[in-house]
Amino acid sequence: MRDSTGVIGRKAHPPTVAGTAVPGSRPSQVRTPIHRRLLALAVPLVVLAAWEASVQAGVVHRLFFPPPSLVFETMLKLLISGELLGHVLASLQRVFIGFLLGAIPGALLGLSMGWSPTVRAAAEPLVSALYPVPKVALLPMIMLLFGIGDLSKVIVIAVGAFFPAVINAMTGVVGISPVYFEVASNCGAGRWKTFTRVVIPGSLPVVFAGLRLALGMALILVVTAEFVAARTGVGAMIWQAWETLRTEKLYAGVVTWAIIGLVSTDLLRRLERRVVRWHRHT
Amino acid sequence: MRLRCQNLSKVYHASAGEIVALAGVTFATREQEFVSIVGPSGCGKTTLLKVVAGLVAPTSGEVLYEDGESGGARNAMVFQEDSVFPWMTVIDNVAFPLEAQGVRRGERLRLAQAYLGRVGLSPFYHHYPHELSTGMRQRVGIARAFVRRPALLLMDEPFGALDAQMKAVLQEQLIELWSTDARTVLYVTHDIEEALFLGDRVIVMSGRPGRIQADIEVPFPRPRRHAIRADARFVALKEEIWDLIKGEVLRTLGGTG
Repeated sequence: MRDSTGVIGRKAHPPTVAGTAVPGSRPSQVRTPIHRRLLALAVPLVVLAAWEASVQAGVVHRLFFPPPSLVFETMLKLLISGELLGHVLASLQRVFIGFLLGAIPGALLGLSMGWSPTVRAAAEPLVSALYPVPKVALLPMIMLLFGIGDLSKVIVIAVGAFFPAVINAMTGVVGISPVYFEVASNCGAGRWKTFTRVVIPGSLPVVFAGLRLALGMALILVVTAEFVAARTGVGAMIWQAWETLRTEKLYAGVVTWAIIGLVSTDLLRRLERRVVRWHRHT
Repeated sequence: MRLRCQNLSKVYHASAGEIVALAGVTFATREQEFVSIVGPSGCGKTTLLKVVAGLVAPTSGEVLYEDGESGGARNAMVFQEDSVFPWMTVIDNVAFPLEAQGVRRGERLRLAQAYLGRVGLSPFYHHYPHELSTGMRQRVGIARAFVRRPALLLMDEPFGALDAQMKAVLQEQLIELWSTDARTVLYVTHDIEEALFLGDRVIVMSGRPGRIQADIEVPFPRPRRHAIRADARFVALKEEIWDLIKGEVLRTLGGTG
């Protein structure tokens, strides 16, 4: 194909208006250069290869550092037997319920704290005082109240997810430029319109940052909670493997949970990109 | 609509003590008059607009809207800084005031489209503001004000952040809009040429505390072309206003005044 400029196979640049945007076009996501993506893949592979080689050469003891090939084989076996899936599903269910119970009320409270100085005055001292307490430290107290079953695990996860959600949602609202509230007021928007059209969308990028932290907290807490008095869950599997000195199974559990963590935070990031389309994502 | 401001004062309480932003500002506009307001920076021009808009309560004095029948909003403000919602598309931004008033979706999008067309943004309905230039975003802000068919249009240095060429283009576009869709306008600027080019009248404010220092009729007939900036009477008026403001700047700097 040849166009008037004589360039083969290339389209002429469409005209730009005011030097920036082009009608009908959207800026595409900037792709990471290929060499950086290769590097991101190569470094972990090199580390794994070195590990495998040192075990095979007898430099490190295979009981403490089972070779990656054995860990992988163990994961495969656990997967085929269905044992791994059962543990993963048990953990994920706790994470999911705990996250929803903690992060959603947390985000809502944070939004109201950011918007209303009265709500902030009432809630901020308590939130600030409880925020730095390690939530694992509350587990015995929670088990005292709610027993040693699933409920206690879900509750400790909810408590852990609650705080990052509150604090970030509040910060998100406080960070909205006052001019947007003046515009809303000048346009005659009532409180509900202001909440749904200014407070929520304006704070959403920071709210999502809080949800990511909350999810990370939930993923940590579930494993910790499952170390104590649990028969199912990846945490329980890791603990049992430790008790019986089956280190390859212990590693298989850790690796599984690392993968789950990567996938779930990536899913949340994708959700964020769909919901917050107007924001420049990094 | 005629606007009357009577003895408006505004005192802010800051940690360093009281700041008198406005002190006894009194003026009135005629029907559909374009009034420019100039003054040294920090003289309370923005405060005056926000008091007139009802966004800030005056410490004393009154704002009166006389015969405020326009079939639309009482006032609409175009802000100095980027005030277009970044999370809404261009068309949703312009339709927002109508949405806030409960106008049906079809109707408000139709009106928003009409005004976006008039500021030359038809191809950009569904773009997000970050995909537009500063000048285009400010035009979205102007369309958002006009769509309300306000009795009074309040503009706070809407073109302050733009380069000279873009500013000239948008000034003409604004006058074009205003001449077919006449409103009473208060237009705050620090650009004396712009004040004279756009206004039927120029109100010159003093340095802090903000008072009215002079109230000057602009004698040039409309439509005006940018060439009038070279007219001898235009230049003379510009210098007269410049001297007034310079005196005020020197006074507030603790000079001779």
